[in-house]
Amino acid sequence: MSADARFLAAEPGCHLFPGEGEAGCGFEAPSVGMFSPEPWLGGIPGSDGIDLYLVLLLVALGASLLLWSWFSKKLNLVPGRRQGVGEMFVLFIRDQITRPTMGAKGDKFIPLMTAIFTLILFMNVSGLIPGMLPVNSDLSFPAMFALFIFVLTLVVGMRQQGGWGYIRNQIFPPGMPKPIYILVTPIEALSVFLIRPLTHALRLFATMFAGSLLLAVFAYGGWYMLSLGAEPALAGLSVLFSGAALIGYLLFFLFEILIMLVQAFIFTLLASLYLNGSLESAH
Amino acid sequence: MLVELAAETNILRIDWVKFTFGLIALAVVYFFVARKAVPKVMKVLDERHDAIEGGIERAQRAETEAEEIRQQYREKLEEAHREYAQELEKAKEQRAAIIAEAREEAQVEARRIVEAAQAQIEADRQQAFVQLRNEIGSLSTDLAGRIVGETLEDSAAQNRVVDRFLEELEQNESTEQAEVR
Amino acid sequence: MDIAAIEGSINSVGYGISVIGAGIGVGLVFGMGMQAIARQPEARGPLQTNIFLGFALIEALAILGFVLAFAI
Repeated sequence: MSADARFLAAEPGCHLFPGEGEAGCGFEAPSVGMFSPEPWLGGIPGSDGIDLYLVLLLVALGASLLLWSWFSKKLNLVPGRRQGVGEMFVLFIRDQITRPTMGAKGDKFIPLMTAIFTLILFMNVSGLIPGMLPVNSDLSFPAMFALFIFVLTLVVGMRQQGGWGYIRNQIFPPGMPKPIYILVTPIEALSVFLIRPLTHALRLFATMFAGSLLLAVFAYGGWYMLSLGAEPALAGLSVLFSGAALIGYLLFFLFEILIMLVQAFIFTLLASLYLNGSLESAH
Repeated sequence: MLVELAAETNILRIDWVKFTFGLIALAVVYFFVARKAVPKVMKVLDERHDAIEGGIERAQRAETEAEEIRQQYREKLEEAHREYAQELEKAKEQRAAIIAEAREEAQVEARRIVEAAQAQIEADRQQAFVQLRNEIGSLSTDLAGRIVGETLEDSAAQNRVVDRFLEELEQNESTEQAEVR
Repeated sequence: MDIAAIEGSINSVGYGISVIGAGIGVGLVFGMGMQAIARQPEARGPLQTNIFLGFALIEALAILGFVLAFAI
């Protein structure tokens, strides 16, 4: 998928078994460079400019809006297939994400969680288009989501429990003997106010990043090993090799789909878990 | 080329343009979903829930209503029974009362009649007694006069005088009685 | 050429090592969580919440390893 056409075009003749008149060259594994597509509109200070990511973001945005306008169009009391799926989606968000973590008082966050889940899902799935990248494999986007959730937890927590009350409830978990706080408080403070938002962003980013890198390795490797210009015996062997790579690619493609779904789910679930800490005082 | 790219890129950087655009995208999706999609879906879910629950509730309400009506009916029936029994009881009592009253009245009347008769008898007796005394007096003097007027030696004559006197007396009595009748 | 020499980034090796612990930890968390839910299905809600809290905390270590592999 991330077999970026640019790089392939740059070194077309580099194969495992060089044919006649071709110089052998080593395998250039895909590297982190593939996550920095060339910007179309550079020159913005402190930024890479407008590049593939933003286009894919727009696509994901459009897909999310389209999906939900499709789901919410012409709703009847007796649901059809389309409406049934849409309702299942909302009920899934409610019964699997907000209700188990926040209870009934978290119902007002259902739209937010639905929006986050849908957008993240489409931003992940954009990586399944061959030659494209998951939007979330650029840290800016997961960081945006995580920071948004972090700020939201702070705002909601301080509104619900008061400024100091929220911080106290977070870093002094109630119901512990006093000396334990010497141990617990620094850990909790670090965990809640630094590690949580950081890992929240990085988990999504890292899985998308590593997943698409892995797929790129399979695609590059398969292409590299496919040396049709070589001697017939070697060419047959190379087809065998790249066939194995293709199978691996397909398997990891399916695995990636699962990972993308699961990561969108986990991101949303953790977001509502963190919000729960703001909603109720008991830790 | 790849190596150069890798060297100059740090994947852990955060690009503010992408950050901002991401935030805008999230805001757009959120407002669309929160304003339009989810409320609509939720509304339909609630409506369906209401429809199903409402159907059950309506059935339950109808059932309770029927039960209530049956209860009322039964109560009314019972009440009617009770009233009938009461009426019967009352009638019996009334009958007994009437009978008792009538008996009482009859006894009183009988007593009154008996008393009146006794009083009449007493009065008659008294009257008769008084009359008898008066008449005995006059009769005695009358008889004595006659006896004295006749000769007293003949006892047979004396007997005749007495008999005649008594006959006269009886005749007087019978004429008197005839006069009374 | 030295046989024992390692070429390229040793950070990746470090990341691989750091992930061992996190992998064991995440496995334990979910395994124990499944056991707990199987024993007491009615406590599923709070258990699930705690499973994911623990999972997030443990995976934080793996993610820190990932960050350090690229940052240093």
